[in-house]
Amino acid sequence: MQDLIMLSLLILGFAGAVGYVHACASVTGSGMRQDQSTDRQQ
Amino acid sequence: MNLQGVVQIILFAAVVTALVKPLGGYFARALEGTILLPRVLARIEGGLFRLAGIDPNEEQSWITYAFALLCFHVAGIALLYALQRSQGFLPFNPQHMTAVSPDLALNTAVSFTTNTSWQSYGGESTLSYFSQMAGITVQSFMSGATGIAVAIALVRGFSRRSVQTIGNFWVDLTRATLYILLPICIVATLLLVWQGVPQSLDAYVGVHTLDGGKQMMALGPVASQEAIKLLSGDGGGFFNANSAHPFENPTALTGMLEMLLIFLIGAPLTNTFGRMVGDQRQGWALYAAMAVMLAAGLVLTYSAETAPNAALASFGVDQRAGTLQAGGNMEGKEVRFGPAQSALFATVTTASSDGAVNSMHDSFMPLSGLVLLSNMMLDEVIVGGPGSGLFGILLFAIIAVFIAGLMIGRTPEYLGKKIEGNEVKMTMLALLCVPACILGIAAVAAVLPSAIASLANTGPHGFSELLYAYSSGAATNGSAFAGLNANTPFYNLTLAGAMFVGRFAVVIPVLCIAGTLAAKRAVPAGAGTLPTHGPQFVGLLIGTAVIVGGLTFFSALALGPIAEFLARG
Repeated sequence: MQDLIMLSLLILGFAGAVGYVHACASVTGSGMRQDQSTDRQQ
Repeated sequence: MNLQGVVQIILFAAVVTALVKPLGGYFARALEGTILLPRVLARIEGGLFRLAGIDPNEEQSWITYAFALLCFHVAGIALLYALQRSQGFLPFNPQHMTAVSPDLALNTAVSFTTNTSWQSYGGESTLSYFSQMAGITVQSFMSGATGIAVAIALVRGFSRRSVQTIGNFWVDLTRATLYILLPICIVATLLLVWQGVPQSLDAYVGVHTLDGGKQMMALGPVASQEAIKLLSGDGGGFFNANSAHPFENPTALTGMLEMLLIFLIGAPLTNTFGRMVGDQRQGWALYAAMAVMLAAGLVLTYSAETAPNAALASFGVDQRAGTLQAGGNMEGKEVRFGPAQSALFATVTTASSDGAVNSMHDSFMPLSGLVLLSNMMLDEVIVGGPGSGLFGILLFAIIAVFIAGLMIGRTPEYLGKKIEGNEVKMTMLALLCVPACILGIAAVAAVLPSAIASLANTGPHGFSELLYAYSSGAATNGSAFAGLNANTPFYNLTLAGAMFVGRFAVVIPVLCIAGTLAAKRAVPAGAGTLPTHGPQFVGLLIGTAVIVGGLTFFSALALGPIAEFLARG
């Protein structure tokens, strides 16, 4: 039983980490579209 | 301070600095696959790639790279957990160790997979030789190689132009293991065996002591684990006393060798960075910033530990240096090493992400405790672990150029890449998740009666023990302050969570930054570009690390070591 609880915690951690990857990707827009940054000088 | 102690420290610094350039060059060639390999190594590498179905020429986007890393590590946690739970049925178990409890097994599995090596157990009384070799040692290699891989991926982000890929995780992991970790470990293992560290699969030996008692001498495959424990930044001891145990660290020479191994990858990686971005001065600037911060902490720790301990002086203890003793605060220290090597070891192990100890940090003076805590709270950017130190200080470099850009009203640039909103957001995310984790969980533990019951001390020192545990866990250091009974379900599970968050919540934004930078074009340096290879930038970088990293924790430090220091007058 305790092993199942630990396994559930691990799966939860993995799911959280995958969600975190997607959150970072969506915040930066990277991996979803071409980066639009330019070299314009100020 | 005495001459012998100062000479030890200067010698150590000189050897590390002398190795930065040659090893940095070797690492760059090994990781980029441009090194001339002996035929046998090339065959091993090719064979491993074929076996795993990996095309070494196929590159990955940062998302694919991060996903591969995550899957690899979660599988590693599951395997190490299963190994500990079933060790009673597995071979190489002459002491008949039984299954590790579920919460401790999870804590240990997360600890070694995340390059932390926090140990809520004593190795000689908990783990079989098979668990030590196939579990702990293997994960030490893998977690160290992963840190190197992530750092190199970030460096590629700076060095590449207008591409969507940052390398191949499997290739980087294989090369870091095969060409960097393994060769150094083989040499280090032989040196440790030569100095008297055991390497045996025999059962523990019973001996009669001089006063007629009986004692068990724990043995095991210690030397091979010792080498990777130090080199990989894992730091988890084969024995409970870690490098204070005479079988892990038998002589003053092994003490120096062990400290050298702790820095042997992190320091040269700054030069690897410089070479890969095409300007070695950039690497030397990072190394200079690390060296200044290390020296500042070491001077404080060494002077505090060589001064007499006021609490012992009241008992009339002779603490003066003389021919028979090194003098100073010898509480919790091995007489073989004295305060000089203990202070140096403690500073090195907390500045890096290693966490091995040769003395009990709980017995250090409050000012020393403040330095050790601060080293970890800076996210271990002072050399740091293999790779983690480099990507950690690069995060502070991004913030430093961002602040400099704000001051002069220009878009910040670093190494020809514009630092824009995405990079700054990801950098702040990586830098804030560790403090949030440390302070958040420590705050909860500080008000839970069951958690406080595990502390050996009350007042500021007790709070320092608590704060140290979560700082060590979330910053992936793994050293223990001692004085805390951490083998309870609460500490095992919350520390496992802190280690998991402390590793992956940093690594993922770092890979994201690598991806966004690699996709950018290079901007030619102009008259308004901030030079990032000179003393001005080194000062800016140190200031940023201390202000952004250190001040976040000031209030917590004020309740612990600072209050203890002031209370002692």
